[in-house]
Formats: sequence, C-alpha cells, structure tokens
Amino acid sequence: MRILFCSEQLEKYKNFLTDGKKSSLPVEYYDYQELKKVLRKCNERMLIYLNLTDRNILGRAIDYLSRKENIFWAVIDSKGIYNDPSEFFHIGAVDYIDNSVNFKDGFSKRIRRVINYLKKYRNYNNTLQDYSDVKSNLLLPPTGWDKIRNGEEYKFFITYIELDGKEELEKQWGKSNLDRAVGTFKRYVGKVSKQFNGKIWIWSGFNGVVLFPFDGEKENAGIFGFRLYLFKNIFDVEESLFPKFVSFRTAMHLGSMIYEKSNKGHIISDTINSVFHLGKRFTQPGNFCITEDAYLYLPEVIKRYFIEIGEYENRTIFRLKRIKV
Amino acid sequence: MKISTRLERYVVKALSQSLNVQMMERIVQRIIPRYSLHERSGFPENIPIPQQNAAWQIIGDVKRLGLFLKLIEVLIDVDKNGVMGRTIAIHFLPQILKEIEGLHYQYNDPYGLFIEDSSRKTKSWGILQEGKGYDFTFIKIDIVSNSKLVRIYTGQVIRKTYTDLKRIFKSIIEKRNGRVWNWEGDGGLGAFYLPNKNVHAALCGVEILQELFMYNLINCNLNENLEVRMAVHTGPSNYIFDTDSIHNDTLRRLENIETDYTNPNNLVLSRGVFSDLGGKLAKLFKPFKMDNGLFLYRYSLEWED
Repeated sequence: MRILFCSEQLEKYKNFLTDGKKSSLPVEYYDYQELKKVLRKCNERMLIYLNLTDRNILGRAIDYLSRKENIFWAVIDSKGIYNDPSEFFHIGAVDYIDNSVNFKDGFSKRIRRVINYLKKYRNYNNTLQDYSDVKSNLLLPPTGWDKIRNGEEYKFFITYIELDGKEELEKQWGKSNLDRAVGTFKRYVGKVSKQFNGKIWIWSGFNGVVLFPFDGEKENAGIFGFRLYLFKNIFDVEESLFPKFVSFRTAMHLGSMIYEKSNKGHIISDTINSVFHLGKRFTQPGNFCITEDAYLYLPEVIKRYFIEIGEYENRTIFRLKRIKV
Repeated sequence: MKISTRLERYVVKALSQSLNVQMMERIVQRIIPRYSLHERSGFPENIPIPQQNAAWQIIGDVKRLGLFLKLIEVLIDVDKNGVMGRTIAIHFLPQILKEIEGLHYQYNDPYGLFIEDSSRKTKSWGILQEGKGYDFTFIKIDIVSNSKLVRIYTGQVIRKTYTDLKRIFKSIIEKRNGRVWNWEGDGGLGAFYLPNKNVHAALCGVEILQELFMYNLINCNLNENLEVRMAVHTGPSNYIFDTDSIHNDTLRRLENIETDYTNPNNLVLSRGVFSDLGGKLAKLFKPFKMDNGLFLYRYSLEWED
C-alpha cells in the first residue's frame, strides 16, 4: 500500500509523520493539487494522511477521497483545531493524529497497526493490493547485490524453502548427522540460487529464505525454483546424505521488504510473514507454490508448467507440476 | 610423460630408505607379477642386492613398461595402509607428489590414482596406453531427425544449436571425469574409465536430458525442441589415440541399443550398467524387454498431466 502525506505547507510538515527519523516505509509527499493529479492517474491502494488546516479544503478533500476506490484516509490535526476527532471516524477516517502524538515507537509500527485494523474491520482484503505489491517509487534494485544497501527497501522475489518431514527425521537421526545431511541440502539451494543471482538470506534448521533482487524487468527467481526441482534427483544421488529422496516445499512471492544484511531472525515484515505462511500453512510437501504477483513475471514458457490451485490470503496461487519418478 | 632425473632420485631414495630389498620386490609384484630383482639385475641369487641398486633397477623397469605412476600409487597405498599389517612410512612422498604435479598429474585420493590435472583433458586421462585393452563405459548421444533439421534451418542456426548441444554434453561428461571421444554432425560418444564409471555415465545421461529440457525452454533457436536419444553400455575396448577408429563389440552393442531401443528424449542403459547403480539412481529407471527377452532400463523426464 502506498502511503501519502498531503499538506498545504509541505516543507514545514514534511517530516511530521516520521518525526525527522528515517522511516522503514516510504512516504510520498504532495500538496492537495498534486495529490488530485496522482489520484487521477492510478488505481492503487493508498493510505493518505491529510494535514489540511482549512476546514473547507479538508471537507472537499474528504468528500473527494470518499468517492474513490482503494483509498483509505486519515487526518493530521497538527494545530489541534478539531475538537471532536470522532467525527472523522464517523465519516470513514482510519486514523487521526494530533500534535500530541509522539513517534518514538516509529511510524512503521503505527502504519502496521492501522493496516491490522483495516484487515480486521474494514474492506481491506477485497481491495486491490497490499503494500507489499506497490508499484510506487520504491527503489528497484539493479540485479547486482553490491548495489543493495542495508536498511533500504527493495523489491525481491522472496522464496521460502523447507525440507519436509522434520519430526520424522529428528526421530531417526542423531543431531550432528542430521545437521550434516541438512547442510548438504542447504548447499544445494545455495549453489542453484547463486546461478540466478539469489542469496540465502536466512537459514534456520530445516528452512530458509532466499532473496532475488528484482529490477523491474529481468526475472530469474522462477527459473531458479524450476531448476531446483528439475535437478533434485541429481542432488539426491550425488550430494545428499539422506538415504531416501528428499522432499521439500517452496513458496515464492514478489514483494517489498527492507533488506537487513545480517538478519538475526527478528523479521518485521508483512511480506516475509505472508511468504512464511504460504510456505508453512498452504504449500503441500514436495510442492513449489508461487503467488500470482511472482507468477506474472515468469517467462511464458515456464508458466506452462504451473497450474492454478486456489487462493491463499486473497492471492491466487500457482503450483509447479510434479515430475513423475 | 617425461620423468626428470630429480624425480627419479626422489623415488630411488624413497624405495631404498623406506624398504628392504625383499619388500621392494614384493611391492613391485603388485604391478608386475612374478617380478624378480635378481633376475632383472643379474645379481646371482646368493649375493644380496644393495638397496640403491635394487631401487635403480626398479625405476628403470617401471619406466620402460610405462608403469612409473602405478609404482607411486602403490607406494602411497603402502604408506597409508601398510603391508600385511605392518606400518611402513615411505619417505620423500611429499617431494615426489610435488614433482609429479609439475608434470600436470594429480593424485586422486578416492580413486587411488594419478590422473591428469584440470589443465589438461586428454582422451586417455593421461594414463591409458596406446593399443591396450581396458574396461570402459560409453555414452552415445544422437540428434533425432538430424537430416530434417539440417534441411529446414539455416546453417548458422544449426551450427549454433549443435555447438550448444556439444557444450552441454562435454561439460557434463567432463564434470564426472568422462571424456568426449568423438563428436560428429549429429551426435557423439563419451567414455568413462575411472572408478564408478557406470554410475557417472548414467548420471551424465540424466543430467544431459534435463539440461536439454531447460535449453529447449529458454535458449533453443529452433522452432521446435531439439531432441536426442542416448544409450549407455559398458564393456571391454582397446584404446588408441585416434578414438574415431575404435570399433569393437562393445561399441556395436551400444549403437544397437541406441538405434533400436531408444525413443526420442530417452536414455537407455544396458543391464551391465544398471546393475552397478545404487538404490536411488536405479529408481529413476524403468525396465523394459528387448526382442530377445532381456531387459534394458529407460529414463525419461515426465511431468504430471
């Protein structure tokens, strides 16, 4: 979801939402006239904070936004002139901020609370896109990892991979042997992802996340997943320490996230959570599932090998056909 | 292989300072059966041979028979595993290995063999001798409908496509220590000699089919898929430098399997190859009967409908 800040005095209030600190979410700034131009051009889901002190202009703006689809709006009362904020909520506001609010907790957390509120009480899920699917002015990384900076938000093909049968394997194997065997699988994932400019970002026990930077055009991640499954039998025979064929599930989504080089497992990202949920709760053992957002960027020839299998968290999900053994 | 005097001296020192004459003789008998130092050196049976003389005699003999590297392989084995329960340390082994590396040979520990290092990839692995017989495993690849493709597409497209296929074939085979013995317009022959040759050849066949599948999806310039037939068979064959001129029953049988029993995009193994595969690899292949009632084993890439 795009987050917009609209004010009559942009320069003065530009950092109001972020309190001058660097925000992990991108905020776009417009005056009211520019905002209307933006709204005419696109139909994306937006959360717009209006900081308009003129009651007439604010009234017109609210009237205008209320008629638009996919728009959620909130009011910033930087001068404390509105006595009864609840009036805004009665006509559709989703947030109200006056000058007493401090942002020590960080703006991102507030936005997440708002989004949770929207998901729970408003028609959020049926609207167009969520904030991870933004085609906004987020940085689209070039394909090279060296250009990706820590703490910045980028678009990635986020790929969750998990070896199936954890409980069973833990019963049968000693810890050190199991660690070594899982290590061979991790190396296989690392080796194949490297061929497609991907990197294992997190790995913990039986599962991990591989990231592929997306430059807006060239897509490699889908082919990575395809290859990972196609050449699995070679891995099974030559490298794997498991006596049987390994089974693993993969979930892939295209979304935005803040890149932290040394992730210690404290993931604060709806996109990452959503990929984890897709992998853990929806994807069946041995399957490779991909959200529609990522599927759209697959090469056409690869798409033929995927079949639509339903929806999860309001996204259409596709599954790679299975290879017969 | 040109053996330097320095290397010879190191081996003489290794033999004479690590082993007595009787033990030297016993070790050489592993590569030259019934080898007798008295007989070879001319020393009468009742006169003991000085260790230095014995060592020089052995060096001369193994060099003449092209078994110099085999002798070093035996010395490494003795150093590692001893002889009949006795631990024997062979001196100067590090220096010997360093000299041999200078000749572009590397000791492959799992195989217990010297093979040429990665800077050279000869058809003989640097160890086969002209005219001698060995056991090999061969893989044959053949482009399906070659004449039709050549007729339909321009020379440039065909050259590019066939060169790509050769690159795939060669890289996958050499990755598993195989060698491409010949490549003609519509296919080629790969050979495997080192240990696990059947497993390596079968794996190469599987990987080539899968790699070709990816190639057809993404890189192929033809308006259709490039299809191949592949067969793997093992058996004895002589080795000569001009590998195109090698003809024997093993290669004839391979050709017969490929032309008569292999469908497009299939890999077929003979029974001798299949029987060497481990559990997981064997599971990728399905048996089918030939006209004579014997079995062959087929792999093909199949997707769910």
